[in-house]
Amino acid sequence: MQRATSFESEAVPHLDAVYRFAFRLTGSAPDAEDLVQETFLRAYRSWERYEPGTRAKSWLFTICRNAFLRQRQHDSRRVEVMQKAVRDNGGNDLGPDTVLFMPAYQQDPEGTFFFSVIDRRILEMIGRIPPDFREVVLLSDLEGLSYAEIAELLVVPIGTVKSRLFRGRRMLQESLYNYATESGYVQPRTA
Amino acid sequence: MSDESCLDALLKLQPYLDGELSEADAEIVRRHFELCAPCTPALHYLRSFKEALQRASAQLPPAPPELADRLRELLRRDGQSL
Repeated sequence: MQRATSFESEAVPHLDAVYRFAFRLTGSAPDAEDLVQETFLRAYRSWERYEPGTRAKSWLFTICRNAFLRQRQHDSRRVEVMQKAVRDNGGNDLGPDTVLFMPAYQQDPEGTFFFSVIDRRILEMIGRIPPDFREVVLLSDLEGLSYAEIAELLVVPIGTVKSRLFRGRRMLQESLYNYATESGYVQPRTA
Repeated sequence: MSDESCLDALLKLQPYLDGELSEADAEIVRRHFELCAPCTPALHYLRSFKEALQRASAQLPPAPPELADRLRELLRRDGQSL
């Protein structure tokens, strides 16, 4: 009974956040619901391993992600190219061009065009960046996890988290700028 | 402002906005973007970007209302079988 009560008060409040994360991982509402149920069931069964008062949200995200990856092992698709690129860079090769997408920044230094792109388009663009980068953008920008929490969740060095996050954000800036240009929100800058 | 201090501030801009810098480093970055006119737009640009993402995240679907009840039932049954 005590376990159920503490699980209800510490873990269940993160249901919406875990669902959103599962939805972004699976891309489908029914698959997300299945993944959420598996996540909470696994979490409940190993509740004695959880330290009360620590970040239940990241712990649940870790369980969710691992469950998703186990499922995906049945899928033979692998996204190796970007993973290799990030590993080779080792997070030590970040220059100014990974901070700002320069064509967009030069055109609109205040970034006001970001607000002209409607929310569902932004979510769509997030869905299109490569998975390794998308994952970190979701965890940081949408779910508010710290670099250290993300590193622990993904079992990578913090440098790798930063590299993927900054590059992912830059990719997103570029695709949002291209979309805004094509939609006429921004006039492309002529050379 | 020297090119070096501008580059340093720019590279620390994202950790600064992410709340990942120490208080001392955050203060240095904050002051740089306050005082350096050429660099100031970069702060606004990335802030706009982050705000747009956060606004979009509010559009992500919440869990279906019945999922919480199904989950509780699942856990209740699991608790009985353990």
